[in-house]
Amino acid sequence: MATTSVAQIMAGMIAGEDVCGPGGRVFLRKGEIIGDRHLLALRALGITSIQARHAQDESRQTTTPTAVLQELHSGLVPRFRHNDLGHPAVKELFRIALLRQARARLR
Amino acid sequence: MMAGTTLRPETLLQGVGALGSLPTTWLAIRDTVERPGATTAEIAAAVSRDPDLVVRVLRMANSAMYGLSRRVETIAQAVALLGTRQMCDLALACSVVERFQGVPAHLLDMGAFWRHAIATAIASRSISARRGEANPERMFAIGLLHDVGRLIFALRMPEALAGCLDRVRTGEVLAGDAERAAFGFDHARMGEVLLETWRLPATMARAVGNHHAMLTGSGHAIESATVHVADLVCHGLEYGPAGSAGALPALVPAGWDLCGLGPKDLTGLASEVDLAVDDICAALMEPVT
Repeated sequence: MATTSVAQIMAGMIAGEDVCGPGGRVFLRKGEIIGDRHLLALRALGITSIQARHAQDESRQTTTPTAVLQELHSGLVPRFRHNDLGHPAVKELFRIALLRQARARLR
Repeated sequence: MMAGTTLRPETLLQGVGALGSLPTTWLAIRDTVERPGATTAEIAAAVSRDPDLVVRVLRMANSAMYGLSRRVETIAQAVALLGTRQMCDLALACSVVERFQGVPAHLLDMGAFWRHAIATAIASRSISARRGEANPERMFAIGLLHDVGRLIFALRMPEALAGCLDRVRTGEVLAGDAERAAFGFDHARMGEVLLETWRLPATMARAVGNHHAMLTGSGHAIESATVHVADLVCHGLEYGPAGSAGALPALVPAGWDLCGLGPKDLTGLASEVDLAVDDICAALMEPVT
């Protein structure tokens, strides 16, 4: 996703990355709709650009939820490379992690 | 590790200044709590000697983690509601985070480091509470401290740690393996020795030291297992120090079997972490004005 200058970002766009404030606290999450309070915070913190897209860009995408899940699944497998995906706890944690990423992507 | 030399955790602790000991305020709180017959007012007075600590403890007591129906206004109320041992461990958590603030650990994203520590603390506490243990705050403190040894590496051996972090970022090697190759021991062992130096209970030190490798039969295995599982879950939920990047640590199946959770408990555990993490980060990390 392209990096967009904060000057060009408008309320209603969707963040493409987590954005942290002082102390590392995330105040804008990837997939979250950018509101006026986020814009104020970005400017106050002197952040000049972030990854963001217009909401309508998402509806133009031809990817289906299944395709998104497959893509996210493939991306997640390497993070679990040191674990046995057949273990019931790992399997469940993988499922939860996948759903969280899917929710963030499709939001 | 340099050829011909054997680095020891104790050596790294020489020269860490104030980090080599816990704040006197907390030591006084612990002494008061451990004195038979100590009253709530005496414990509250010991906590109240540090105004910043008072604010942080009250923020914690009023956080979503406790979900209390009425606002806690005073330390005495917090002691009465939470309990004396619980207050002592809560104060320890607040004191340790304060102790490390302002430490110039340039290699680490300190915000991400503490967010992971706090998420692991909340998850550890939740697992302990699910087992019905009397003082889940003890597990909160252990969870908060589980990676603290890495801060000592960042302070004392920054270049060697940078090499480890580069290797870990590729995902090919786990942090502990990279650290053992570089230092001869990992962050868990480093943290264990730090907690021993601080004269914290052996339960806490062993749990930190064994949180990646359960030593069943050690007598502290359940605490190690709890923080081990909490750490793994928080990495999976992207509360890891590298967020959505970086590989998860490896689950030790014996640790999972010990911690008392079933796979279906993980969804609830994730919700509890999500619900409380911002509140606790604010309580512990935001400046006291």
